[in-house]
Amino acid sequence: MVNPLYLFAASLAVAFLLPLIDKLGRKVSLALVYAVIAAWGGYAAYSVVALVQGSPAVEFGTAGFVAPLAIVLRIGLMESLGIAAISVVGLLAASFMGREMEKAPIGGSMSFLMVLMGLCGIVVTRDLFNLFVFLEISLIATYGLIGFDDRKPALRGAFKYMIAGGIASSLYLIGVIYLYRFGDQLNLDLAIVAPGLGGTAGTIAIFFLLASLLVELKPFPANGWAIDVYETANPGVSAILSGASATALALALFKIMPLLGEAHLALVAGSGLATFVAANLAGARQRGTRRMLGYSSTAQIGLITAAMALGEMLGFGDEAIFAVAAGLLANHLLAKTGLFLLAGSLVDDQARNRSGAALAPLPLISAGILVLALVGLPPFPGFWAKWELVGSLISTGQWWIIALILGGSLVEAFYMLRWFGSLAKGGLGESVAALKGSILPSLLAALALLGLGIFVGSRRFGIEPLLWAPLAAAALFFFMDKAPGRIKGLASIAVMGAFGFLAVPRLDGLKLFFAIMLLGGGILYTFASLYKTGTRRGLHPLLLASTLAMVGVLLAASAIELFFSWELMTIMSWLLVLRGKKGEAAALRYIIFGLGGAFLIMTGLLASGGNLALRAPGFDFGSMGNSPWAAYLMLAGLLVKAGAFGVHVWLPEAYAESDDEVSGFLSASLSKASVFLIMIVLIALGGSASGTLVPYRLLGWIGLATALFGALYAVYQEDIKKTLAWSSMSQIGYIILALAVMNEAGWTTALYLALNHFIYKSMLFLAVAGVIYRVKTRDMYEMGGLIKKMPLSFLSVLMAIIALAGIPPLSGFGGKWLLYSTLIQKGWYLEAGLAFFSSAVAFLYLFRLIHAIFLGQPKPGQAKVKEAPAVLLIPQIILMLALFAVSAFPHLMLDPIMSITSSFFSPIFAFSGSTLSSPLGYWDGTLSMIVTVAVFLLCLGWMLFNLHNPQAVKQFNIVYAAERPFKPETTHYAWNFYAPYEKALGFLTKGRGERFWATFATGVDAVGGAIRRLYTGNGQTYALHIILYVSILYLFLGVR
Amino acid sequence: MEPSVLLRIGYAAISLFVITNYGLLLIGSMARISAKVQGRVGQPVWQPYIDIIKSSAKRNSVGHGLMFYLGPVFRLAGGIGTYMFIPAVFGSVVFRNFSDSGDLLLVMYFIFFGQLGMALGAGEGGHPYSAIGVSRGLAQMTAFEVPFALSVIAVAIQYGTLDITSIVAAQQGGFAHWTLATNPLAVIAAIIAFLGMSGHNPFSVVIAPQEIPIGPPTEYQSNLLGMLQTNRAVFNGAKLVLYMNLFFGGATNIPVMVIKTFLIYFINIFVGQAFPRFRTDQSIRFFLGVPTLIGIASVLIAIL
Repeated sequence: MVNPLYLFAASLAVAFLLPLIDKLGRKVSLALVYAVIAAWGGYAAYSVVALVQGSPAVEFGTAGFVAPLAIVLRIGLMESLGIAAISVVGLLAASFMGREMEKAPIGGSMSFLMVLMGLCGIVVTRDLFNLFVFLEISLIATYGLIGFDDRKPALRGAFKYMIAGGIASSLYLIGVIYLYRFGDQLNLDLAIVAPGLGGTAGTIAIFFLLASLLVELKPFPANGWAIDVYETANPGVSAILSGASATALALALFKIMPLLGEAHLALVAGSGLATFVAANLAGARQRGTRRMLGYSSTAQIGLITAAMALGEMLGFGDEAIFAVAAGLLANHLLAKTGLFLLAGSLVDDQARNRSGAALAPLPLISAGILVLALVGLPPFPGFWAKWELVGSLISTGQWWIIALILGGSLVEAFYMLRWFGSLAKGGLGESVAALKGSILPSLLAALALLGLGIFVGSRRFGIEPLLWAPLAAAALFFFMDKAPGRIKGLASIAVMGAFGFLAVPRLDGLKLFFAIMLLGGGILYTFASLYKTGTRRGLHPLLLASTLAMVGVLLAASAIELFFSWELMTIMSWLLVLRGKKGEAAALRYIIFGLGGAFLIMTGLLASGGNLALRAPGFDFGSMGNSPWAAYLMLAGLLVKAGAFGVHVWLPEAYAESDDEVSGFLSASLSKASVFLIMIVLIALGGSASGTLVPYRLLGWIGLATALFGALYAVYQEDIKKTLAWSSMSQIGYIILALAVMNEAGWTTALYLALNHFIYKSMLFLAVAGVIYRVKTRDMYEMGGLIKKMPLSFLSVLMAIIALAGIPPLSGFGGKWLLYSTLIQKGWYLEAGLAFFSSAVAFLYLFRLIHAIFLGQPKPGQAKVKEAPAVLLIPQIILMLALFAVSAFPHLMLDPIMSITSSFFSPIFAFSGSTLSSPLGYWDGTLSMIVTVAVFLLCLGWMLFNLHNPQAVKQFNIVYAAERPFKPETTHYAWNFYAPYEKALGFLTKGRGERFWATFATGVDAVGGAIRRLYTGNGQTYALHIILYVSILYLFLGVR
Repeated sequence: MEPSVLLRIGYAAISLFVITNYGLLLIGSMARISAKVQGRVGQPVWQPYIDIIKSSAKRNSVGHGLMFYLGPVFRLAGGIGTYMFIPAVFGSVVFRNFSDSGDLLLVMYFIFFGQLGMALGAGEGGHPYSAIGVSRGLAQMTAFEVPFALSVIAVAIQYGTLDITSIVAAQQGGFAHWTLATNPLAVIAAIIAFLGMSGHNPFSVVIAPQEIPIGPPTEYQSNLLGMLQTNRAVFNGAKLVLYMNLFFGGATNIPVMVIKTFLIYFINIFVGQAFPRFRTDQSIRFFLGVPTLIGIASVLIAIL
């Protein structure tokens, strides 16, 4: 291996000769600079390859001597990767800053090169004083680099950086001096074993060293100078600071960790965690992109340093610490680099101008990948690192720390995804035409993250190929996104079919049952999406990916695979909601609640001891019996995702603001994924927690509250999609209630309700999609009398509401019969009574729905409305026939269901012929259908027989007691339909849940605001912050 | 021995014939009694027959669309169907109807079949007052269903079954075995709910007779009106028979059935003549207040 000193020499030579070379032209000098950086990168790549293949780490002593006489430079895996990272960031930043560097004085390029060289030096050196030298080199060069383009704000930032850097350097120097005095060694490896450093004096000396590095790593609250620099410097410089500089310093901290004692490590951990939480809270208030990214940067570095320290303190083991730290670090530096460079390309940094168009696809996708990577979502390295980190923390029982980390992550997710949302919906200024600078660097960073993430996922965590299908499908379809929507739709269906062909043989029983709803739903709604012409950018990749991810949840064989697919599903569905015209706010709420739930699920999965390498044919949760809390955590997370009462505030808008067929998809298919996992968790819990019935009762009440309040809220809605959204929430509540009963009766009910819900909700959503498509409005009172124009849609809605309301002879009644038989037999009488009430309330909104849209007086403006497109009608007809068949022959649905549920519990229901009997009563679906149809035909015949000379009359020909109505607005009763009901029972639906969460959000926001006020912009104040920070740390160190 | 399908249909027809006639006579006689209470002469007892025959004989009819015609069809089918699912006379093969299609839950939910159809038909009529009536009716219905459901649950707990025939069987053997005697609170809650179901005062705001002269009663004419009037008889009969079976010991022969249902219906008229009308929100709050508490109490009694 080559001695790195040559590279140092080359860098120095080029840097000092640059003014001279510049006479040949700026392009030549810049090319030389890039060449040197590329040389560093190539060197690093070569070393990495060599080291991975097994060569040992090499140490080079200067002048051929060894330590302690010489300065030792070490090239091991950590160092090589560090240099590689620094070079990559440098190259990306350089390509971005190219134009500015050409225009600025040559000093800028010199500083650029020196910064990178200094950082590389920090990484490879094993001598503490040498570390100081390189630190100074990089710091001083950074001061120059920040202000290289002569902008006033940048110069101010540079000055503040100088103050802070100066203090940090002094601290380091003091530390090194005393370290040398007491330890007699400057070489790191020798100092670690030096006896003189064990006592109080040694501790204090090391403390100074540590404090300096910590200050350099921009901790809270001593980081105001850093945030100001991030905000004002050229984005390329910010990228270097955030990516390369932070990497080098983090590695330096890692290097000196063997020197640190328990107290020191505690300081690091505490400072890091505090930074992570506080910086994220402050960042949540920030609307300026660069400053926001600055906060995020300091937060991430805080997390990384805390993770390293915690790993050492709690004894995670070297491999785990490396995996976590390296993963988080790689994730951070690539994402931040890409984001800073992308943010630098935006014309308008502040999201004040909301009149601009949205970003073009390619920059938007890069931004999306970078943001998702930063937040720690799959398949990116941050996701795997976080999984490992939380897992290790759980195994050592650090619940508070986990809560802090996940809470901070949630806040970070909030503001980053909010930023992305406004980017996607055009809140951040002009469109792509006004992007200055190239998006290539950020695109490259995004691709690197993708590749790294996939590599880690498949190699280290063993995610099987089929589960990567959603990403592959999304990528493929994004490439062909310019094709007409219909072609993409048919292609999507083909891909789903192929996937089903591969996946279905591996599923059986419960999983196969859900696969029908999840995969079938995907195919159904993709087919329905053909009703709109046009390219429908982004719809098909996302719909396809969501469907495949949901089936991935079914296919998963280990905890990590499950969570991986679950998160993919969440991301894809979030993007689907974001696609809606007014979807920005709704999507943000959706994803934040979804991520909150996902974090709970993750914690629960890890706490249950889900073995990462597990590949059992079934799904084994391991030892959940000893600690049901893991299951409770998972249930809490799943209830959030299902929209249970209390955490439902995201649901109505998410359903209402997404595209019409997407709403149907969310309601009919996506909600079932939560139901499936709830069942899995209950299976794991039920086997062992026999005495703990209280949680099940509580779960039942939560389900009942969801059902009741969903129905009550639906009654008062004017918007048809909101009505259906609340209705969906209500139906899922029944399913949860039935599951909580934990016997064969309850689970049969739940599965029956789930499949029924899928059928009739799809009919409703498809019909409503057709209606909205024709009348172009979502408010029910603006419709009316559409039965004559859209008879098939009316029939579909009619059958759906008969089924939903539970009116015999359709299968909805079967569900109600099962539910009440289950509840009464179990002894849950009060729940049964309330379920009756809630079921009756459902009539209210269902009738309002069908009356306001299809009956009553038609509006004159809608005289030319046609029936819905055939593409929407065909699925409805098929579903209607299916509904009829299942209602007439309950065996069709109940036989498979009962064979599934009787494998979990002992049977309670039993068939004899076509009669289903429970311990309390019986129901014969076929006979009741025959009787009903016969009686109906009898009455129909009687009417026709006796109806003489029927005459149709015109629209307003009604008996109106001497008035003559002529306007539908005064004769179509549809607005505020249930005013008396609201007068009587309105106190139940006062939006308390909404207000609670709004207050909570305001509270968090206020905390962020208070934190933000520390950053006054005054350099002297920042210096004071640093001194105070170091003093407080010293006090916490607690030396006597 | 299980009778053949044809025989069962024949028996069902007989049963239907009986209840229809009984229902029509019941309405007629109750109208005459109410008139006497109010100091009028009143209509003859057989007036409902005259009304139906007259309606069916009309030479023309007016319609507003397909659903308008289907409204009364649904309504009558709902009424007849509800009756078909209830065993009218305990121990009788003729009057067993098709009660083996389902238990008490089926009957409770089938009541909504007719209501829904009627609501749709009324809506197609294009009359705003029809819609107002429906919204009031549904709102009130959700309210009175609660005490009714609670009393049904209490009955189910007490007898351990939802099968109507078994419930009647458990009440045989004298007055002391009736639910009226063993769980009077359930019966009280159910009767109050029945007042709501019947739409007599004080819960008549749905049609609001003497107040709103328009809506379905004026929109529907000729044979359609005749069907609605027929349904009143059959549906009333069905509900009365249901109550008799659940709470008052059922009937082992027709005369007992006639007497018991007559007396139950009399409660309606009795209360209806004596009270004015509640507003919709008042009736909702009423039902969800004391009657619901009585229902909960009846459930608790049944548990203990």
